[in-house]
Amino acid sequence: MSRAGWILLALLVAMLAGCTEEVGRDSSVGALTDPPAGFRQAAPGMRVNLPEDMGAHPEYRLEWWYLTANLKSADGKRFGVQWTLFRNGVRPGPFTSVEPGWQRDEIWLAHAALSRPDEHHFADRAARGGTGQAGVMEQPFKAWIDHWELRSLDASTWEISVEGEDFRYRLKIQPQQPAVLNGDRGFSAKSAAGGGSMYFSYPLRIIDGELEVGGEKFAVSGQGWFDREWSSQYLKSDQVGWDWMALHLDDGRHLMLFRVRGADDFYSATVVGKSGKARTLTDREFTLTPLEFRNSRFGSVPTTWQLSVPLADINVQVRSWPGDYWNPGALRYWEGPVEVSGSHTGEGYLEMTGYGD
Amino acid sequence: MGLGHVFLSHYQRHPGQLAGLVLILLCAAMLWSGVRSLTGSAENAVARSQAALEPLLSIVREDGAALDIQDFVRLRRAGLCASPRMTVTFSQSAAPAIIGIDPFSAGCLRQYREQQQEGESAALVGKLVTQFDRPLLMGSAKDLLRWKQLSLPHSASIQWEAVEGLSSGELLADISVAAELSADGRSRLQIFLPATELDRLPLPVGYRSQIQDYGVEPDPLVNAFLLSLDALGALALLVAALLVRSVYRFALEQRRRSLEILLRLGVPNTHLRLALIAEVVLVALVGGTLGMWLGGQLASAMAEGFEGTLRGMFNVDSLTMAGPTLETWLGMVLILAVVVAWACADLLLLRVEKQGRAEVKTWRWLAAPVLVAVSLAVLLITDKLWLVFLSALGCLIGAGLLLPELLNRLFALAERYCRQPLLEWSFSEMRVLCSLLQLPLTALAFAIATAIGVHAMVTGFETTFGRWLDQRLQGDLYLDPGRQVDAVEWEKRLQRLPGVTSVLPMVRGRGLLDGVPVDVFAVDPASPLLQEWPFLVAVPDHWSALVTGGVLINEQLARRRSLDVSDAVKVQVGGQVQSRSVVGIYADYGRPDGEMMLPISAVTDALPGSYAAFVLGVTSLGESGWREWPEQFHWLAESRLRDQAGLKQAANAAFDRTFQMTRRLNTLTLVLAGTALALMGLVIFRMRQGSYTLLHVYGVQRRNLRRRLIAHSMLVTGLLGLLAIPLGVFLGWVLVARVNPVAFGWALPLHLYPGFWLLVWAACLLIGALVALLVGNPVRLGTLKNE
Amino acid sequence: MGIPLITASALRKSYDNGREHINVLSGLSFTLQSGEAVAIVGPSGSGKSTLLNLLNGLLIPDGGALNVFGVPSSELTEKDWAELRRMRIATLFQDGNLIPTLTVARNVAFRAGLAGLHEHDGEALLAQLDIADTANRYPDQLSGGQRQRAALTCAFVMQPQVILADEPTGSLDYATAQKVAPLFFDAIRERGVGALIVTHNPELAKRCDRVLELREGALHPWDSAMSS
Repeated sequence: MSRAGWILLALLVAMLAGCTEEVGRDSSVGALTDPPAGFRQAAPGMRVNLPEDMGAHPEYRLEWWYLTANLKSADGKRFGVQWTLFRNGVRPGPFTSVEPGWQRDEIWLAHAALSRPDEHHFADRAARGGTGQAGVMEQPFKAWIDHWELRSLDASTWEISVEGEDFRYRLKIQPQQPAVLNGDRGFSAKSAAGGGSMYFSYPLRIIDGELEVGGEKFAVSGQGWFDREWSSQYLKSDQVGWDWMALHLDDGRHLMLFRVRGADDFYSATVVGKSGKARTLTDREFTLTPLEFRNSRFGSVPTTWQLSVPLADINVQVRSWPGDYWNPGALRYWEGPVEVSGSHTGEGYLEMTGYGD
Repeated sequence: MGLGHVFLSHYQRHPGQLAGLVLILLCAAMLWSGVRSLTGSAENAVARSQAALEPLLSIVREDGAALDIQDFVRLRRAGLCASPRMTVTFSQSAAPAIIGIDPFSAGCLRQYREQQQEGESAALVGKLVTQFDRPLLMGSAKDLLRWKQLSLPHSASIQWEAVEGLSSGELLADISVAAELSADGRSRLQIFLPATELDRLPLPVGYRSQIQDYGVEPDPLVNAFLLSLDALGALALLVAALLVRSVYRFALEQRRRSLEILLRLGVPNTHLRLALIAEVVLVALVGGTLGMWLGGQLASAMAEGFEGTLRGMFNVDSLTMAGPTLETWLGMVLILAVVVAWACADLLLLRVEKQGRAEVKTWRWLAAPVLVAVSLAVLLITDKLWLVFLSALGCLIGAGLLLPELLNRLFALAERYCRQPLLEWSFSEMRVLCSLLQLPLTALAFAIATAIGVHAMVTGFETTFGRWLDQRLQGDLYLDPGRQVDAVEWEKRLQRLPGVTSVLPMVRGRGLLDGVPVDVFAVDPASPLLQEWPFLVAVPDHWSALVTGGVLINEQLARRRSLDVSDAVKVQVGGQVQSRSVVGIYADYGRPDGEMMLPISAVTDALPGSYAAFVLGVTSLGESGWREWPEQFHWLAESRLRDQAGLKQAANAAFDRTFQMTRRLNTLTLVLAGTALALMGLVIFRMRQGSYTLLHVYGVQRRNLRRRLIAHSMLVTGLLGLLAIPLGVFLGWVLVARVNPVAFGWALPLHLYPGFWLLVWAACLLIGALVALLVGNPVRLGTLKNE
Repeated sequence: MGIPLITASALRKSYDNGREHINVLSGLSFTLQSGEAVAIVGPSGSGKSTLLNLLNGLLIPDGGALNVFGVPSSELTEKDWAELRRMRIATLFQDGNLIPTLTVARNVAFRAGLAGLHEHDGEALLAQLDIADTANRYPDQLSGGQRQRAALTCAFVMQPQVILADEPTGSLDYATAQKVAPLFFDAIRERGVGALIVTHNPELAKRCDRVLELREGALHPWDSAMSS
């Protein structure tokens, strides 16, 4: 699903200067809504090929490797973890030189967050492409920037290690096969007028992990969601943002839903059964409505939602953890853990963009 | 409003007064705003130049190979906050260097992360990011022009943008741009790390760190220099205040009469005051606005020399001349309004004052000596520069209060003891003159005293500097290799050059003395070229003492750290700390940095910022053909050779530049005071015509009266000049013995220059004579009727 | 009567004030003898002050002849005139022309000194004119009458032969004028001085030996019946 990749340019500047620079929202939105110039565009009919598509796509403008997880320690303390690696193409690839060099072809950006109820920690890094400072390798799978790394230990296990100023975590992850192809066999439309991205996901099981925050260490485990998405134009010019959720129900099912807000709102969802079989839902097959708004630091946002999928007998409320889960930058986005209650119980993550300006 | 018309009519009748007022205010505003504009920009530049105290490390490979991109990646992947810098230099002369940085990691370095200030450096980095897709080169307009003139082959697609805030001679770009341009020049990759990172993580195997920069201690001396210039500007304002007040006091009687008439006619008091205030504000506005504009022109004219001084003496770079803001304009107008309001306070308060014969104001005789005594006491004790200036001002004002009284008393004394009637009358006339011209005379006295004082300081400095330079420069040739070289190896090579009898390597670098960053100057103590080296104080056999655990320090350092010979200090060069003892203190004019001299054996390769230069003793310099050596010997190709004469010239030129501004400001103030005095003198003399005419009626010839007029005028100004001389000597002492040590770090003996006094005194006489001659005929029969 | 001191015949003096040419005096003839007081009356602006200034050399006549102490004025240089003014011709003005920066006593001494007199009767004169107590005061500390008396002292101390007085009581009130006038005339008679007094005051004029009217640039005998 589309993420806050459009924050790239603005956040880069903000991060480097150590202060928040107000780059115009329009210029950053442009990264998502500008028509691709020389870049390849995702279109219906394109297919997902693994394991190649776990690597980078230099012909596309924007892509990411996105991980969220809901974790619990042995004594029941809850944690939320996020890690995203973005690649922003400055020039369309592929690039001729294989040797590392000082180039101006692409920019890599990473966000990492650790959340607890009423607590949110954030860290970020940036690097130019072409030096080896950041990159992704498909076989064996490795995605890194500086000392942050997500890599496969063996055929079925990944490991992620992240260190920020006031937190760190190292998790052993098992992606649940097969890959979930969102939308139409991997092409995920973002509006009725066409356009969108190539998008597949993995439900995750975090089998082992340790994290450290506030001077305390915790051994944790839990579940999560991994998104792999690439495109050159995500949104149409009338679309202002989206709301996205990844939910893990206690009966073993997973749901991925999003709503793109624009002149006409666009809805799409994927439901993953216990066996791992995935099915895309059309906007007539589910309803997602905001229930409650919270007055957060940057304005009012819908933190409680009503979700009903009649076909699957799902009628639940999705409620955010107390607190603010804004990831900072000129274009902030909300990325926070949620609780599911109602016909089913569960947990998950909620992401919201395009609010509070 | 009729009231306005009445006020205007006074100036219609006496346009000279209005012109004089505006002119005086204009000049003062010009001087003040010009100086402030320069010193204000300098203050900003200083704030920018002050990098953090945080030491910066440079990473090198253990195997000594040059760094490359892989090393950077390795350090980053180990989790260290490292940032690369690629420096590309070109062989063409005066070509700016390209500094390529990685904006994504630049935040590791404090230099690019300034949150406290305006964030200019941060803004430049931000620009590199937002313009990442384009090859951008940023720098000052001058440097960009020079670079464009190079027309390098790989620079076709480069885009440039003129920005402020970069060091001169350097252009900033993304490291990828620098890499592209490195094909046309020579490039060097460095990787930097804040020293605190190593407290967190160790370096990966195969790397070690070196101290790149200890961090710069904020320089108090440049602020002192700027304060001195501000003081000169303030003096101009003081002089202007006195002159404006005298203009107002002239017309006082006249205007008071018309004001009283207006009062009697029923115009309310407050209306009159308001009208006066409006006049004050208007005059201040006109004078201030014009003056500020002129001041801007003055500042631009002086900017280059001023910038050169700042760069050469204080290492302050990148002076940006900001245009005048609304605040500065308002400030200027306010200052002038206050000056003018004080000047016409008598009018504003509609106060009655007795005029007429010279009255002795007793309070002056009491207050003035007290003021002088207190100020003198403060002056002798204090160590703070602003207090020095303030107390000097106090002495000046005290003397200024006493001076006219002194003149008055002198003339009264002469009047009492002379028998000849006409002489008696002459003295009484001169007393009246002094009383009427009190303020302009005081202003002129101040200006004269300052001129003498500044002259004493500057010229005394010149002679001392010249002599000192002679003693320091014992070698025949000075060689600057143009790049870092191995001192030992080069010493051997230079010894073999034709005609060279001795070679003295001088290695400079940076070190710490008792924790304070200072310059390091390493020499071979046994060299014959050092034997004449002048010391202020030193132990006997200081050169051998230097080798066995001694250190020589310069005067600035000794003063700042209150060090004396035989004090024990901790010296750190590179990584190692040694205990050494101070064996001598030497004068070091021309720069404010602290410096210590060490034997070259004590200085290892790890000396940060180390740079070697050489002094050569050559037999028969003229025949040695040293000018062709860089062409003859390929290893000298990049070197620069200068003979002693050339070096002295350069040093003196730098020295001149430093004091050029001071001299100019001084001259301007003097001219202002002299002109004002002349103009007022003219007016006053016309007023005194009645007195001379009366004498003509009594039977004194016109010719006689005219001669007397000239004599009166010359005697008044001449006597003033004489009285101002000791004041000037006093100011000279203040500058040399109090201001210089605090402002620059070195002290000088006070030199007296009677020749200059004579010159100034002659100028005073000339002014007096000129004014009297301009008056022409002192007899005007019309004045008889107005008795 | 006495010796003729100053003789003027057919004096002419005119001014150019930029716009027009004014003939102030034309064909003025007159003789001043020692020991006589002559009053000159006339409308203001008629040229009385000009006449005085011609007689003491401050102005030069455009035409006519002037004879001073037997010497034609054409032969007198500026130096000579100055000497005359110092020693023999005293001029008195309306407002008591004293040097404001000197005390009364020093003013008197000054005038005597100018005249070259090492010894003078200034003190006696001050006493005679009843202002001995003002000797050490400055002119601006004196009343109008005292100032005029002091001016008189200065004039007499130089032992002049001629006194030219321009409205000597002009700035005095009636009572004071009445007091000053006799002193003035006594001194004149005592020393045999020839005095030419320009005045508005008819009482003062009547005390003089002769009264002439300056009318249309020349002197005519004054008809008191026709006076205004």
